[in-house]
Amino acid sequence: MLIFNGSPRGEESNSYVMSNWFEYNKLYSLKYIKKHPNYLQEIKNHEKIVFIYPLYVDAMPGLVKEFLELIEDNVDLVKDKEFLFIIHCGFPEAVHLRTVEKYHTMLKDRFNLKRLDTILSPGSEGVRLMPDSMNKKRRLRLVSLVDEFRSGKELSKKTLNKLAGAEKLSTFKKVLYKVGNILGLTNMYWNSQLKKNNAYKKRYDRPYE
Amino acid sequence: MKIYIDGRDNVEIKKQGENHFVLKDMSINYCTGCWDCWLKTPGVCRLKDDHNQIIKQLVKSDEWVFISNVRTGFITSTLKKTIDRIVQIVLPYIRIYEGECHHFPRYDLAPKVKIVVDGDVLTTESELLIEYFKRAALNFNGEFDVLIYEEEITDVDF
Repeated sequence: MLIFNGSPRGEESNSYVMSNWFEYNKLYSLKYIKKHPNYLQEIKNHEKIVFIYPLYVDAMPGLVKEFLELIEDNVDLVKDKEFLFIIHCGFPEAVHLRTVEKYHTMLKDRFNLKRLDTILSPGSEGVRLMPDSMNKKRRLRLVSLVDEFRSGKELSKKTLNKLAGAEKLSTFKKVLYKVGNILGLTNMYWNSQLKKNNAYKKRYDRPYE
Repeated sequence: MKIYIDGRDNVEIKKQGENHFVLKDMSINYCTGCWDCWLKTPGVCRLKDDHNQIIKQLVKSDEWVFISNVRTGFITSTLKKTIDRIVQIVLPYIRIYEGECHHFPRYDLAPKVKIVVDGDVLTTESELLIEYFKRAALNFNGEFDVLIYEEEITDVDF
């Protein structure tokens, strides 16, 4: 199994942390595509290919889109291959990932793939910062789904749904979030980073106005 | 004021005016996900290339027109990488907006978002593009307006 990490952060990314939860033959970062132009050859050499990337403005990062264009330009290479996309985002709701999930579905016919699956994992921004114990549920679910993909089984809908979680926040959670906003609790991480960088006073700057 | 962000990569494009940005003729790097534009230099991307020309015009415009051919069933990577870097115009802070989590806006903007596509476009592709730009507009405190299909884009009301 070949994995492409589509995060522009490369080894500093949540995608990289999650990739290393799985058993794979090779793991490449699309960030380095210009230094390692053999990625298409690697696709040719593997039957099962996993793409893992974070949501950038409601879809794949530009880097990933460029790689998909490159694959289409060499579409014979992927005929009858099996693709798995794992997409994640910082927002806690699955709704943010649904549009790009639909896009992936369209790629199956476009690339003449034998199989294409998509796994959604919202609320993933903190993965790289959290201790393993806090990632345990997410890790076990992802590993179980990727094992199913690798062994040719259908992905468990129950596990997919558990990992995707709610489409939108419940009314209770929305109220809780709004209260957290008012109390400044939801901004704690951002503010701590802004203060660490001596940028807190500039946080609302509008430099291009 | 309008801005035209032209991400076509399949034809020669003649720049139509100061508010028409022909991306394939500009130097625009990929967003690296560093978050400096949120956490170190709020509102300013650390990458020094032509993208800030777009941002300067973007924050003054109440109508954003994105232009693209459909490539691999979606907008071009040239346009997508440009859209990725618009995140500097929102704050890192998250709010509940239209029933979902979205970023707070940095500027007083509520743009109308249009997408113009040319070439062969399947119905499923145009539906997906509408859905995508509706979501992207929501993230930028705007509202999706319309998808315009042009067999050949020669005059988009520049």
